[in-house]
Amino acid sequence: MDSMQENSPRAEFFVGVIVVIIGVILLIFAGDIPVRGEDDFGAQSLPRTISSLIIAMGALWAVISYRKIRKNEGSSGPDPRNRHLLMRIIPLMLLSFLYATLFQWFGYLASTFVIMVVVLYIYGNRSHPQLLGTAAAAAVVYYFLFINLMGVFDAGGSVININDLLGLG
Amino acid sequence: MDIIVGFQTLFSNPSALMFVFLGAFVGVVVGALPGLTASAAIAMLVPVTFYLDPLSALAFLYVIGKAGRFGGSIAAILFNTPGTASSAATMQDGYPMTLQGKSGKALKTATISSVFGDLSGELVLIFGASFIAVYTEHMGPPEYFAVYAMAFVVIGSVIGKSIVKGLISTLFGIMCGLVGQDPITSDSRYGFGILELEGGLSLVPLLIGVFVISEVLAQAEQETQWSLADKQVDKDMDPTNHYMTVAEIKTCLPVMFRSTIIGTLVGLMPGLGSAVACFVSYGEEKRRSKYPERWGTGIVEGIAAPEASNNAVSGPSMIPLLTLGIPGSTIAAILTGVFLIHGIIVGPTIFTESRDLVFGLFAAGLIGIVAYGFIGYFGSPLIGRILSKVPARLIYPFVFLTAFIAAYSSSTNTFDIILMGVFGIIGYGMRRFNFSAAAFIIAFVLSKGAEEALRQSLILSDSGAGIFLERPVAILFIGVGALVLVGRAISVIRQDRQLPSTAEIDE
Repeated sequence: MDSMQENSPRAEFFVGVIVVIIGVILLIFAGDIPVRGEDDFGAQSLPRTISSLIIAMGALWAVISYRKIRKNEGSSGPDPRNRHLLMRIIPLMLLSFLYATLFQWFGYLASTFVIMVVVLYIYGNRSHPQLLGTAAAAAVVYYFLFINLMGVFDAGGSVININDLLGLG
Repeated sequence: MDIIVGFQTLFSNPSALMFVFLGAFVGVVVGALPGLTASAAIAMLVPVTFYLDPLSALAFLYVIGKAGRFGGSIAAILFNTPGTASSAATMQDGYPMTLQGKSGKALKTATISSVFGDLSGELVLIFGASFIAVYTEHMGPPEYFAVYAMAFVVIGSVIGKSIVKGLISTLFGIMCGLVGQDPITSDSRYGFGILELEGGLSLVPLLIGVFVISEVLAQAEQETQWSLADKQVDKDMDPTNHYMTVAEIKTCLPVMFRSTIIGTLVGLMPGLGSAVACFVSYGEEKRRSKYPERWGTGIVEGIAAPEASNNAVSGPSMIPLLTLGIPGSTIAAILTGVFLIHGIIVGPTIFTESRDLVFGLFAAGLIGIVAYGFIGYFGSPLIGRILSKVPARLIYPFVFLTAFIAAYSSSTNTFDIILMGVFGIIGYGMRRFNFSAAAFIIAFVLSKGAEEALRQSLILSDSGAGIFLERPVAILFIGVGALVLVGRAISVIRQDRQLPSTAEIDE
């Protein structure tokens, strides 16, 4: 919950460099925006200005952080927040994209059940009957609330249509 | 008296009235959950409001925002864990009171102060907004662009710890707002040949990603998932420790009054928000106190000051939105989107074109304050005990599930889920490296209006950008922005000089 935890100056320096790189990419793509004669300002001007400012601010941040590295300021050592990066955070990041794919393949009910099992496991729920029961109950309740009651569209799945199999379609 | 018409509008719409009470309950519960903010709850619930009439939708979300600010005090007082950033100062005296067996008194102080601050702020909104709107109605594109420019600079420079990072967050927000078709020439910008990007980035998946998914990821980073079950919950049933005495109310009234003024002024400034207000008023009241050494040990004034102030922010923070069309807070930025979804253009003309709706919303705000006041006064200990039984390892998987269906249901397009995931990762990165999500979102919402005002001004002008220096009101707003930026830069440089480096400490 502590979003204001200090990062090391080295990490902050790389943040500045990444901001500069993003700014450069945005500036390059701004060049692809068509320019027409009828509007003096043009569709390109603002994206070019903003991306240039992003580059300038990123460079400024990198310089500030580099000066801190030289002065030996700030925290050092491994960041405790990285401890669960591989086993919890990255899998959770990927789950949103997997959820979208499973939803298209198998519909809302089945994809929600599978994803809920994985999310509950990542969050430390290890009792299998409880995990499966909670995931099944969540999938059914959410299906009823959002698909049945609120009328959110569920195509049912392009690979296997679970709704048809269960007689929900 | 337009507010009476507002009450008539509200009471003639039972659905809206029901959503006011529901919003008060949802706001208190969500606010009391550590990590989940009112902004996150509103972001998730925006798609639900697509199915409601405009007054019900806006009243529901507006009241969640108000009640959420108060709800944060429950976790702060009972569990020493701020439910929201705006209740962080409440912990300082709230939790020591719980340890002394006075949690009931602390919760009732928080409720009374929150209701006092919020009602006062709402009255400032009701009587101030339509008054200011009369003047802003005559502003043209150059003045509007100057206001937008001021908002970008103020939000970017004051909202976070670092000016540079605040400005980077603002610039990224503007850049995301530029994705899609150019407003004048309709040329594609950053569309990359993806059809869904041609219409611009959708607000709902972006909000859910930045506020909700990033929180889900941040919670997964904790070594042990928080559980309130092992925290101190006061079970002392001595009735004298559970109510504010008349003497305590007398002591707290001036504190509440002064803190409300601070909260109101902070609320009027775009981007500052209730987290700033609560610490400013806590610090100010401690400085004024005859016994500053007792602050932090568990005194009622230490709860009254931050709670009155952080809730007083709510109403005035809507004034820039309703008079200029410029949201001053994250919640106001989300409400801008909801207004637009229902075909209502925010800005000074709203007081002529949708007068009943606006005053109906104000009436909903007043009823909502009373509703969360009742819930808080009588139900806070119960809500605290129930929350202490539900662990985070169960709450956050359900939050993830709700975020997914909310993002999808906004336009029933799986592209929005992918967008939510991408902005979830971006939001998490912003948290990790202390960029401002609030500045990013507010800038994203403002960017389209700012570009339109700029382009219209340049079309009107014979002297190019010189038009902004020909209009006194535009010069005033640009000047205020420049002053705030310079003032903030000077204060940050002074702070940095006062802090010795690690090398100096080692010597």
